[in-house]
Amino acid sequence: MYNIKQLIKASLFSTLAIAAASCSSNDNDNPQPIDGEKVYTLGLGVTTTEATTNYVLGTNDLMTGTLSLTNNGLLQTGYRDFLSVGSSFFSIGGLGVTDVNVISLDASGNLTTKSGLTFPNAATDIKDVDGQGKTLLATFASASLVADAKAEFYTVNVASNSITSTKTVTMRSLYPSNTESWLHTGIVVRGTNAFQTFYPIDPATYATNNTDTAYVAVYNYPDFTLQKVIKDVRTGPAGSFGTRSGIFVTESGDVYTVAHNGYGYSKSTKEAGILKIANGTTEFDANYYFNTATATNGGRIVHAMYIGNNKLFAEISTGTQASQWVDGNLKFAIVDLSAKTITAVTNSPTFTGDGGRSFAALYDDGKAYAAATVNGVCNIYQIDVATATATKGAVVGATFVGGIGRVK
Amino acid sequence: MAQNTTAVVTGKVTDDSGKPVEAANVYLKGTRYQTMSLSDGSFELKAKEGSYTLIISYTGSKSHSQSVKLQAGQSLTIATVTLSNATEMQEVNVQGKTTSQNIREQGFQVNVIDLKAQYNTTSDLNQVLNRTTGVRIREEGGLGSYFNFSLNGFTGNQVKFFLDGIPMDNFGSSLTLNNLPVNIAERIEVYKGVVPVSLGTDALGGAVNVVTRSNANYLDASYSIGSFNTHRAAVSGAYTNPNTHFTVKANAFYNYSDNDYKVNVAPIDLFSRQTLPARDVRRFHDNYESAGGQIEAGFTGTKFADKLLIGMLASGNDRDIQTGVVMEQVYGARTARSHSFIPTLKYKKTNLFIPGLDVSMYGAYNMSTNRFIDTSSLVYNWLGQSKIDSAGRGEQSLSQRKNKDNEGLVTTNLSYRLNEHHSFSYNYILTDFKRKASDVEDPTNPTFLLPQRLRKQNMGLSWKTDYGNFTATAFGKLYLFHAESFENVSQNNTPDYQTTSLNSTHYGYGLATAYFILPQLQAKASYEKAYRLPEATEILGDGLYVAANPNLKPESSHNFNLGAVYTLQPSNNHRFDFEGNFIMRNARDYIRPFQGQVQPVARQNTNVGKVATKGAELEIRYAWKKLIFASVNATYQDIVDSTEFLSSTNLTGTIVTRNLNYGYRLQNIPYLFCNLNLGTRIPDVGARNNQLGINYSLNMVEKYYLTPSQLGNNNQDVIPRQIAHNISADYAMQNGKYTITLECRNLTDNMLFDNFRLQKPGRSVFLKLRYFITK
Repeated sequence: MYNIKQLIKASLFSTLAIAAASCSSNDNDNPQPIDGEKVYTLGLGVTTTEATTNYVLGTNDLMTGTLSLTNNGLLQTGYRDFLSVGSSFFSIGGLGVTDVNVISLDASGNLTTKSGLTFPNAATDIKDVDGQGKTLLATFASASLVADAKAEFYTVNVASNSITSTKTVTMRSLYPSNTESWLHTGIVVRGTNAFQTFYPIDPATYATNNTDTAYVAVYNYPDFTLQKVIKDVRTGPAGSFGTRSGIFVTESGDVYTVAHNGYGYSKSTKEAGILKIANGTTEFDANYYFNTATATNGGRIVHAMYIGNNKLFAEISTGTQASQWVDGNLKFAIVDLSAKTITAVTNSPTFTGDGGRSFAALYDDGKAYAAATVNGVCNIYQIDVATATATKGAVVGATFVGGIGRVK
Repeated sequence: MAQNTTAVVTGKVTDDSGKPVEAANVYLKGTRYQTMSLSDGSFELKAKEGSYTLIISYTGSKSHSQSVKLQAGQSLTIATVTLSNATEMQEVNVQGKTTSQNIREQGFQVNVIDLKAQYNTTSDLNQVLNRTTGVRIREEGGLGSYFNFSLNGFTGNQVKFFLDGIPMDNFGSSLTLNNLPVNIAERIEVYKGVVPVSLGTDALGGAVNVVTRSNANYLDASYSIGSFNTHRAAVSGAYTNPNTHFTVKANAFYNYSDNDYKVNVAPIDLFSRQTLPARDVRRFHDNYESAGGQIEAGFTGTKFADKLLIGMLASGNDRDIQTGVVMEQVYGARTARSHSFIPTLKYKKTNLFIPGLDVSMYGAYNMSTNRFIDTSSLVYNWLGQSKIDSAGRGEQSLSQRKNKDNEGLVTTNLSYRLNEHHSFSYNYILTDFKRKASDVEDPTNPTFLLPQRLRKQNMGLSWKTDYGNFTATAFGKLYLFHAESFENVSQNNTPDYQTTSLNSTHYGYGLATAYFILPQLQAKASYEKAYRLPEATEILGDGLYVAANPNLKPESSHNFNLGAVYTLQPSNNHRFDFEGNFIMRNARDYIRPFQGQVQPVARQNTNVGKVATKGAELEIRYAWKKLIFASVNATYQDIVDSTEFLSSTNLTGTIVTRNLNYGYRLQNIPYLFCNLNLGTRIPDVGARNNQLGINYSLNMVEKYYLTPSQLGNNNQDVIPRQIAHNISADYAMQNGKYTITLECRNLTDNMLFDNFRLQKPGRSVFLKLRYFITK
């Protein structure tokens, strides 16, 4: 009547069939050497309905085709920040995973990762101390009302990817208050001094109640003893949450603080502007004030990087700031800090920024590179600094660009 | 007319002492003809003419069988049937239609897990559920750890949990499925995608109902001890006075474990911050303790109520937290604890006022407190070393968060049997949830200012029709939703927090049918348009971290099941059961936080996700002579992200980006898993009425990826194929009065992982002692 063996066989086969149907191989272990005179790295974020995942992608061409992550790119665990230091590209974890991956190009043209170092917390800021590509400064400062909460400064040797010194400062010594704390917005090192911009906030709500003053903490470098906090009421606080675009130093040793009081501010009481701490001094220069709000092609300089010769490559927001966390209406621009001029970039798209992240941009041989998403498509833009003209480059096969670097 | 060929069997069922037995199953073997005895023990069963085997069974009793020959139009009265007490082993191996089987034969796609067969194991409910089709439970660590329950790919509050029909989503972390030992429950029902109105909340992906034991008189006590200093105790019992009908039911559990199993990690030197070589270390901050109990007293089997019980459910737990979401986040001081008190009232009456009208009402008031404590100024590494973290207090963030949850729960079910072909059922569930949060470390946080409230009223109406081999249930559901939260309405810089509220109404509907093509072959099809309503904070915000989005729609899904059950009994010695299901889910409007911008507060939830699921489940069970049992099941689920564009409307306008995972499988969800079980029960080993059982099981989860696997090259995010072999032996003495069980899990000490590569315990050994009596 029934053959039991057959039945068992049939059922086993159907189980196996289900198993086999679902087997598919998508491992691709072949290294993909990148040739060419220049090799760039991109820190890319892919947002799906479930999560955001980060990758580092190497390419020799930022200008044509599609920068695709399909079976390409190095997966980076967790939330990531990227920084180009010399010929290394740093991928630093935030939120839980706080490891430091140093990505570089090996002799055969493959991206390799050096790991081993893990920060104790998510770094608030990471910086090539002197532009020489040898020393990294990592700043840790999370707004806290705890009386003895400290900000930390780690110095990292790039070659060995190891911490060479750890210094701390009590947060309240910069801004004595038991109802407000502060957020770090940028740091520069000039000779034996470090200058740090910050702004006061209510750490629970991130409301900014005090926007009348620009603050700079002046430290002795490299021991990070606090000398003083200098203030100036011609602008509000410089920089904003997460953007790391608050303070810049030029080759000649002049330090500039950039206040916009847009993204990240619950109110604004001063016009957007730039102040200067002249070389050799540790005080604001009373003779220098650059009102960027009223300047031609002006607005709020929300994201910026220093590109040499007293110039910033910037993303400037115009119009009214709709609310605290809007990072919209941005356009590329070149800011000359000493000449106090802003040059609009021809062919710049108008786009929305990624908010509290370090500025994903690269300056390389007279060209600046950044990304912008327009109508749902993210592109690389190449900006010729001399002519202030943008050229639309490669399509980015990712949701956003978190960092651009050059490793060869 | 049908009556030409129809006959009627009537009779009465009593126990040893001559007392009538209510709710005994009476049926004709191999057919759908079945009924239950009434409170006076009487029954009446209609069937077509023919020769049958009449079976009468009742939990805890030996079942009765006799041949009957029915002629057209005949009214056959059989002699009173006396059911004698069964031993526990017979309880396990009751043949024929059990309650479980009756549920399975409805049109709904349901896994009914009969826990009686598990009473000698050291499992908790999660571990039992993890061996069934469609279900994956991924725990973060050992005993008591947080877990992610996934049913056909639906997770979190898309799947709803019930304890005896009462929604238990907000019962606190000490009354979850991983705390409850198998011995307190009789069965678990897992409804896939299509949920009957009696469990009528907004369950997008299905519902799990834990049914506690219903024996009138019994005592079951057990204690187990095992690896990682794990202790688990459970006592449950019931007493019913045959004269006064006074009933007391109680159960209690206790769990403790150090959870100090070895994990393979690369520790970090706290001074140099450099990674040290990978090694095996013991987890050092993972103690878990929980205890709980339920006592109910009242009357059963009286004229005014089949059941009238008032009770109290109380529980608490204390948990050390060893890791964050990933192994790299290691903690040495964070803890969480919770306690819950839940008074309950249950009332049930069949044939209220008129024959065929049954009513049941459950009420509960849930008072839970959940605390999260993170105040240490130290950082820890996997070697258990610590160092002061000068950056601030709290390993993750300084907190002594306290959530006080209060929830009123009422469920009412009215059902009416119009005739043998048609019955109707109406169900009403009210849940009124309020949360008040506070944190002494952050007293001015505006999110704690006002309570959040979510009131849901869910109504369901169903019509069930039975014609011979065909059964169908059509139902409609109505969801009334009321949420309250608060937001800052200030136009200036002085905060002004005002209560906000929102009402909405949604409709769901569905159909579940089953048809016996042959007496041994049943086909089933079911469909539901299902919803998951937003939580109060998802739609109204919490005043700070989450901004309100009043346009948020509920998550919805078209759920479709097609299945067949086939039983084959080539001879009395062999029995095969085959069950195969095809599932299809088309879900949309998943509620997710807006990810487009990095900002610390005021993030909005939006409807972004569309997910299409096609899956197949297969289970085969085999038994030989009540001596050998084997089963194998496999689940394959292709859960595909069908969101082409991620569109989020935010304060800045609408942002549209292409979803690079479009058309690919959803990350971080297992898609293929199998379970194999082989067991034997050898009677009269050592002495008469002593029984030896040996059981082997294998669990396999195919490798899967934590991130979109089509992106990146040589990704290190694979969760490799996992295989666990488990073996156990139990020796039951004096018909199951005393049982001793020895169990070894993960026999070959394989590396097992769960969510985000969190490592699971290696080989572990448990010993369980159990005492069981029933009257």
